[in-house]
Amino acid sequence: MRRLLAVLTSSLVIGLGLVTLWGLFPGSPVASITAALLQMVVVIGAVAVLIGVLNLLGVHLRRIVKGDSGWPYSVVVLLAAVAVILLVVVDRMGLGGESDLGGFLFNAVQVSVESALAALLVFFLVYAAARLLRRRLAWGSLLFTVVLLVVLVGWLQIPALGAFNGLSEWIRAVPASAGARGLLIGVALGATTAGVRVLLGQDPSYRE
Amino acid sequence: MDPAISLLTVLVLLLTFVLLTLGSQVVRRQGRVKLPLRRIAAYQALPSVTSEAVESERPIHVSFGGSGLGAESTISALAVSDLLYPMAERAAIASRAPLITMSDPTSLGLAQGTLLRAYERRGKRANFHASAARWYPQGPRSLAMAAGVGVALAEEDATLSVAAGRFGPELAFIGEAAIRYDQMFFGHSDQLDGQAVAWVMSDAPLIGEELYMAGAYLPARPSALHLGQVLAQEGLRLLAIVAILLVAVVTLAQEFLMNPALLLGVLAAVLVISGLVVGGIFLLRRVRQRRGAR
Repeated sequence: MRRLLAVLTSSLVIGLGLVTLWGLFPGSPVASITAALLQMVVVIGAVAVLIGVLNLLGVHLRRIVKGDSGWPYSVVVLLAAVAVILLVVVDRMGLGGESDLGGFLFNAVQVSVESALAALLVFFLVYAAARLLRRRLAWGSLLFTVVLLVVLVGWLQIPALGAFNGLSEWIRAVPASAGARGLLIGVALGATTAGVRVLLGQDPSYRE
Repeated sequence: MDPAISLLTVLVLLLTFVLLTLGSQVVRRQGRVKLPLRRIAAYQALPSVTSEAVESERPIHVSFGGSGLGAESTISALAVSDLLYPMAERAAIASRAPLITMSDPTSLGLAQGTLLRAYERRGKRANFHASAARWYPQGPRSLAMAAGVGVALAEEDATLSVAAGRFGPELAFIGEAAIRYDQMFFGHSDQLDGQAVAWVMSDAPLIGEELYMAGAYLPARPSALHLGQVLAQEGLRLLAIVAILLVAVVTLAQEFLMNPALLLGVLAAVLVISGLVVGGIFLLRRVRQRRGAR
């Protein structure tokens, strides 16, 4: 029975995968099937958000019940989640008048907090670069730090450093962009081979 | 899609299929002979660090980041699942369940399924808790998720943290938390900014395509298809390198034919750069020798 189920799952994955792929090519006769399948993915994605919210609430409820360290923060998370859900429901039902409470909360809390966190990133990265040199002194880390310094100093556009400014631009335009393309080509090749492997239906998750 | 790009896509897919099939057949014919896979520091360290986590009764942490099913990050989500499975299989006998985090809810089911398979494989299904996989609020640059994971790493007292998949610069928060609490950190991202952060912060970073090879490196007995995938991937990489070099050589040859003075300039530049590289390596060796002497 288990083996039959595995064969059925594999066949379904291979079949639907190939149909979706074929439908993406121009003039494909199965384009409408592909569109329907992709539409299904959007619906599943929306349901997944609901499952995610339930998971979040479940994890924090468990922490409160077990009295794990930091459980008061979980109480705050639960209260905030319930309050935001209620506010959005009130908004959608038109009970809150013209005001967009959900949008206001998002901009006032989420956007501000994320902006503040983003500002902290710079310090974390500078600290990480310094730590890299101290801990992993290698040709790559030395080159990384030298290039970082050249690019940062070049960014200041100090008139006295005429040729240096040009070097900074050249680094960003030529070696940095070449390296970035190399990385992206590598990721694309890895994704292609892994994708074809999955399409062959030999993934362990189909069998177990 | 442009017809030329369509044709190229079909050709690449066919070539990948042929290389993958040939590669897995070669592996099957060889039997149990171990393939000389290229050394990837992160994959060499992960099994022993996971075993240490089991012995010290501390959990491991694996993050999918923003990778999710049904979007363009689908394959990276599957690759993280490939990486998670052998680690979870090792950690299944431990008293503390692994901590799995993600910001895309579609990978929640994938993570839970992977964990369940690993626990079933070790006959420890009763130890499985779905809450080991945790979803954090969604976003392409989910700073809230990264900050939340940082706190969770401290609270759970994890031994090691693997953040692979789709991350932006917010990966720095997870890396910083891991470093602060003396945990080993292995980072990867299929995004350029995230990859740069991963390289700087990791104890042993995974770079670009290396994430997709996890299934061939981490399990004790990898499947022929996973090993075949590595062979296909390396073959395609080699082809891409040869193609890029050929294009560069042809373009340069055309330029030199039109402007011979350029040839002298390029030769001089190559000499200067080679001198700098050799000098740098020499300097680095001296510094290392002095450190060793101390």
